Amino acid sequence: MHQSFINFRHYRYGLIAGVASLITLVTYLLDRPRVPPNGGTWLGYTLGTIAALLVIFLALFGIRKRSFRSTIGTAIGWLSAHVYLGLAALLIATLHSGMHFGRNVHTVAYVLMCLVTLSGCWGVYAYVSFPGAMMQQRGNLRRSEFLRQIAELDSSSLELAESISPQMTQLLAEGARRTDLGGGNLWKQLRSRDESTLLLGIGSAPRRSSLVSNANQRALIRTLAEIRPGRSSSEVALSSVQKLLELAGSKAVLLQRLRRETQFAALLRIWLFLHVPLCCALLAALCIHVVTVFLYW
Amino acid sequence: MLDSNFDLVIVGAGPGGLSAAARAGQQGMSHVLLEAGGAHANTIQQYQQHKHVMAEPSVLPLRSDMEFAAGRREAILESWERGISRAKVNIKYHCEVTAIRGARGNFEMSTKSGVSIRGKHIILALGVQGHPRRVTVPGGDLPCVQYTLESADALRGETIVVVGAGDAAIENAIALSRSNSVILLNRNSGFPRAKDANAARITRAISAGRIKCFMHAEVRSVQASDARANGRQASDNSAGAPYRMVISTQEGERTLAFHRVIARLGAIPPRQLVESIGVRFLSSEADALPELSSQYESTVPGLFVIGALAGYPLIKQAMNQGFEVVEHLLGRAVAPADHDILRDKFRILRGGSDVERIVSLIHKGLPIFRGIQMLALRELLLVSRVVTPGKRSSIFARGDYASSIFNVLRGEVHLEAGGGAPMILRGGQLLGEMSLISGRPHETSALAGADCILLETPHSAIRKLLRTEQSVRAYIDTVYSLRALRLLLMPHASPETIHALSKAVSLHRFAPGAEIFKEGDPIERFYLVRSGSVALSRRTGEQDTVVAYCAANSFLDALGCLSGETTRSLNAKSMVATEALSIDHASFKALLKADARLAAKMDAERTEQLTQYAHMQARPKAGNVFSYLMSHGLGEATSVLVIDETLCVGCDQCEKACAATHEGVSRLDRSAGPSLHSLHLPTSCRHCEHPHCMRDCPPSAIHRLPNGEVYIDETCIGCGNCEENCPYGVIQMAEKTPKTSLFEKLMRTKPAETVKTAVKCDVCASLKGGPACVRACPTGAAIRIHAEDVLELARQRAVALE
Ligand SMILES: Cc1cc2nc3c(=O)[nH]c(=O)nc-3n(C[C@H](O)[C@H](O)[C@H](O)COP(=O)(O)OP(=O)(O)OC[C@H]3O[C@@H](n4cnc5c(N)ncnc54)[C@H](O)[C@@H]3O)c2cc1C
Ligand code: SF4
Ligand code: SF4
Repeated sequence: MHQSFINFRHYRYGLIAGVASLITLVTYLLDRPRVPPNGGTWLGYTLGTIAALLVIFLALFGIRKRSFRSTIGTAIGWLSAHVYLGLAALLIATLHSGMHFGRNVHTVAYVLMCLVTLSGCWGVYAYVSFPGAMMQQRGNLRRSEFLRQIAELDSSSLELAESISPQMTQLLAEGARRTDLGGGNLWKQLRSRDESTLLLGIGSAPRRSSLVSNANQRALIRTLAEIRPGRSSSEVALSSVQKLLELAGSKAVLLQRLRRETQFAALLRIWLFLHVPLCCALLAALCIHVVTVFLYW
Repeated sequence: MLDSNFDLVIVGAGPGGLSAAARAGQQGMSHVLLEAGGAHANTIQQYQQHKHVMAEPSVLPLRSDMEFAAGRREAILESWERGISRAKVNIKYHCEVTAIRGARGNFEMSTKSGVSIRGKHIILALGVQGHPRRVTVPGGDLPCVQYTLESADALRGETIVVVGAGDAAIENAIALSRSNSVILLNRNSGFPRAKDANAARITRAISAGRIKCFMHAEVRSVQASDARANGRQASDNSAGAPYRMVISTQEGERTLAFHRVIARLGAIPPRQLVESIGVRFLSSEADALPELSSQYESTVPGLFVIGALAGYPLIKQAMNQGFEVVEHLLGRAVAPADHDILRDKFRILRGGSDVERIVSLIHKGLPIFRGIQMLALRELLLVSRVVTPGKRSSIFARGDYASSIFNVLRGEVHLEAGGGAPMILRGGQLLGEMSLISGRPHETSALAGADCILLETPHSAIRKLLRTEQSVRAYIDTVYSLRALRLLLMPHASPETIHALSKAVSLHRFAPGAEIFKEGDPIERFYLVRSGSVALSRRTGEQDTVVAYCAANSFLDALGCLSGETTRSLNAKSMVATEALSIDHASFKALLKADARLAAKMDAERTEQLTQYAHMQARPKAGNVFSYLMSHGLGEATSVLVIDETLCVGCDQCEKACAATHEGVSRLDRSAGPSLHSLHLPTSCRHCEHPHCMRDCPPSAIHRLPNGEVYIDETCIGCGNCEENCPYGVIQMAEKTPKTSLFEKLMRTKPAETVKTAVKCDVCASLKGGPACVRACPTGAAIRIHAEDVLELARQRAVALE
């Protein structure tokens, strides 16, 4: 029932692209031009035209993706075609060049095309493997569910802390407030570093209190673990501290999973920031390439 | 006013009561209008501020001395206020009537404040909102006990006791728990009355300690605390709480200190009051209507019932009725307000201008309606259509989803199933009942014969009758059994055989999740599923493996019944509310022996079931996936969005597409909803076989198209009933910007109204290519499936998971 853009309609576009590539390749190998193969032979021109048209078609996907009312195919069909024909286009363009490279705009266009295809391949890899991996590691929890559970852990800890002492309450309230949930800008999401902090030494003179990193709740767990039965603390308080430690541990695990999830989501988006501008650059270079070719004809 | 005597006493100053009183005032009739609240039209006062009130049904003319046209709530209330003084309405506020005694000419009413009032006639226009059930213990009338919560955000840092276990109590408790400490008192142990989503939320909140809950708890008394008692309380924010209550729990009595009680114990329907004086209702069902004459007179002479309480849930209807009853009391004959509309409808009939005659002909001529009240019939006719299909033209086609039933008024209709001669239906007969019951597409095609005239009635209107009118139910049940036996079981049999067989048929109703039979039970009956769906499973080792799924119009465990075994080898459990017909197994076997064609048909059925079982049994995991999908309503879905999480990259193209094609409001929430086995069910309409949302839509604004799609049209008045009734939480009440005229745009007059209407997925009916969400998904993660595909999806998923 479900089909992915890879096996869409039994690999329809894969087959089309494969056959097209094969034909071009065979023609290229059979072709015996008077000069060494290059963009200027009749085959070179034909392949060049095909490749250019393909690039335009590939770029149109960006528009089709946003035309929600369009009845020209479906998004999945377009993506499937985009992926397979994109690969074919690179092959055709390579053959079109006849492996003549130099320091010129033509080669720039070719290199850009390689980069676009490369970033696209990374995109395909991400699309194929990340969703499954993401699912594996988040189980059946969604982002909102993570946040809810974390909030729940916080409020349970606070409630416990209130029964211990005002300092404890403040410590935990501060900890909860300074928890880094892994949001922020794309770079932060990708880096996935826990920037939670904790304010230690609350209640002492203001200058003596210090802000330390609380990555993976480590600082909080250490602080809690260092509490020794003192004069004021009773049996009850100690068992509450034990409970607080457990809660902090669970929170650390949840935060880590949430961060991984965020990172995956960012990875699924980031490559587009490369793919799309590169594609625009390619289109520009392609125009120049075509114009110059015709000027020097 | 004490012991005053009036010609007419009107109870309830909603639109119905106001309109009646205005007529009486205008005509100088001695009257009084008693209103429980401190202002007129309590129900309308409680609408959301600036609500755009609609004047549906738009075809119905208004007959009243009060003004009413679609517009802002405030403007309407003001115009009624003016109407009250202009028509010299004698209105008394804070007069809640608690008892009615006496008979025509000498009724006596007592009110809560102890006043009693006499009147010759009574009009009851109480509406259906009812009164909140009160806390009746000592101290229950203290100001700290409230029955509504205006805004949870306005309260902070208080200890609040919420009493109740329904949706309202849960929603309030959760909203309040954000900035207050909340204690929930539940008389029972679970939350069976609440929606599943709410029950899950509150259970989580309780286990996380955000809400404290006492089960099996009841309030015993409430009182103001004395200051010293508080001092001993511990450090929580109930310190200094001004009130205390004693509650009983299973562990004995406890005392709670608190600031406020929110009691959400449900409403007492006004029916009790109405019944107490002897007004008969049509059935014992909760939403049954009172028995009324064509003049809205109840079974107690001199006592009239109008408006929502009489089963007319719209403002204009209530107002018209108020007017008509007073006219009737003044001795003037009034043609009902629907007269002209019906005349237009009947125009194509011979003698159609005599509306009364046609209505009574229909009443007598159509056995399905013979037992219902004239008023109910008129209301039904108002939403029905008279259609005259040309000879051989299609009335409906096999495979189409139905949205109405048809009664043959004249001529004939040919009903064609897969094989055999067509069944011929003539005047007085009904068609479309099978789809009405199953919620599935038509099993037959219907073609019009010569001179065919039909009455087409929408499902929503018929379903309302089915709920309230025993006679209609019985008639449809009989017709259904006869036709189902013939079409599904023995197309070749003679009408006599079918008739005899139908006598032996019994009807069973199963709640969702009910066990119909289990492995090892003796095979006693042969079942045909009539509506809903059933899962068949077999126990292998520790777990149940689902082997088959029976939808409406299929035979349950035909395999077992044909096997010659005496006990069941499968468990059968209903997935949603299910109905089934059955005949006893011995008669079924006798029938098989006598009828070779039936035996052959059943043999084919057996082969099919055997293959299916084999497929499923090989994949026990598929059963788990299946159960998960079924538990989220896919068993009644005609088109439901399922996202494969191993393909979804979270790009939200589906949501964007939905919003882009629907005035910027997405009707689906991709990230919400359950996920399991990497299948995610976003919060989005399932287009149910029996759409729960259609129940109780006052203007009947919810319809379904032949492709099964359920949609809401522009007559929606924004009452929110459908949002309440949909078990899958997919309807949102969304604000719409009302259309402004060019003049208004030029003058920059901003519309000061809020037009909130119900919106939900319409499977992109208006788009050529079909649902935008699916077409916009670039990875193929989003698909739409039908209940019948669930088993296959589960099987494929099991393969993928292995
Ligand atoms: C949210 C919402 C939106 C709606 N929008 C629309 C709309 O846009 N257009 C539309 O046509 N309809 C709308 N409706 C439906 C409409 O409100 C009702 O059909 C209409 O109010 C029914 O009028 P009524 O006179 O029968 O009863 P009500 O309006 O309910 O009035 C009953 C009155 O009786 C009083 N009363 C009750 N019991 C007693 C007693 N024992 N003693 C004395 N007085 C008593 C009540 O306080 C109340 O004032 C909406 C309903 C809701 C809930
Ligand atoms: S709105 Fe709810 S009840 Fe109505 S068809 Fe959709 S899912 Fe079913
Ligand atoms: S809110 Fe729902 S039930 Fe109410 S009128 Fe609109 S569609 Fe009908």
